[in-house]
Amino acid sequence: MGYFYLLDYFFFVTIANIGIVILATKFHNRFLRVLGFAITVLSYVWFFSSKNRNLPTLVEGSQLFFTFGLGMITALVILKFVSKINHVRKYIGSR
Amino acid sequence: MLENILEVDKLLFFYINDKAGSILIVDFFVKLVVNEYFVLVTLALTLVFIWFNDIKERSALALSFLSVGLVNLIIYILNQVVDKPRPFEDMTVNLLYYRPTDPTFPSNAAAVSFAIATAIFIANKKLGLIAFSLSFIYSFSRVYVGVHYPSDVIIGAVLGIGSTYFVTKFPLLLKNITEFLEKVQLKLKLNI
Repeated sequence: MGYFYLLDYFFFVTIANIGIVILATKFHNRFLRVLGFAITVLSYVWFFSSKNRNLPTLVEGSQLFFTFGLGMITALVILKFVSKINHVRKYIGSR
Repeated sequence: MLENILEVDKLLFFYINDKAGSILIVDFFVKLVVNEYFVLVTLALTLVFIWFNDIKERSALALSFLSVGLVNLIIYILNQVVDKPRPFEDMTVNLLYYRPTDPTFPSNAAAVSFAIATAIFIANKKLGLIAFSLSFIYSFSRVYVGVHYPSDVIIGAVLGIGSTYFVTKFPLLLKNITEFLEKVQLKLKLNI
């Protein structure tokens, strides 16, 4: 049960990190700022409404810490990938 | 003297915990924030925000790492010396949370959250005030649901804040760790 919990937590922090990085790096763009904030909030809504999170699990603080780090890196990889696709799309569009 | 302090601690605990289970909306919000996820993830996300939004204050991340490490070490040492039972272990309380098995004094939750909040405050006063408010609500919720005494969270908070301010006395270490993290980010091509 503990490891399924960790998987939920990983998805939560990955999506939340995607939202926060968008919010932080595109702060000057109102639409992207709102999008980043909305993605972060929705990740919280999903995580806390999908299951009761006030139960004991086998998951420890250090595991949560490393999973958060992994989630952040995954979020950055996803954003980099999306940014590359967007760049290629714009390049093709301009030719 | 100690007995008087423990007595006041118990009285304050009951003053707060007696309300648990009686006001539905308060119980709902407390149950939302009392777990290991809500506040701590929010504080961690705030650090991520600072890292990507304000290059000058990136050392907040290194400061948090080190201060949380230090405060956990202090708590580990204190746990070997002080063996204080949880409120639900020797009293009948309104318990709105599961029963933690680790020692109650000092509160790890309060210590870690206040350590991170202090690091955020040093980097950005506005975000820091929000972080402190969240940490206060988190610590209060631990007493409200019946898993900590007020003294556990107060001492935890003091240790957290103190650890962070202690770590700020090593600016070169913070600078080196921050530069290392920036190099790793560049190497992995994760700069956005």
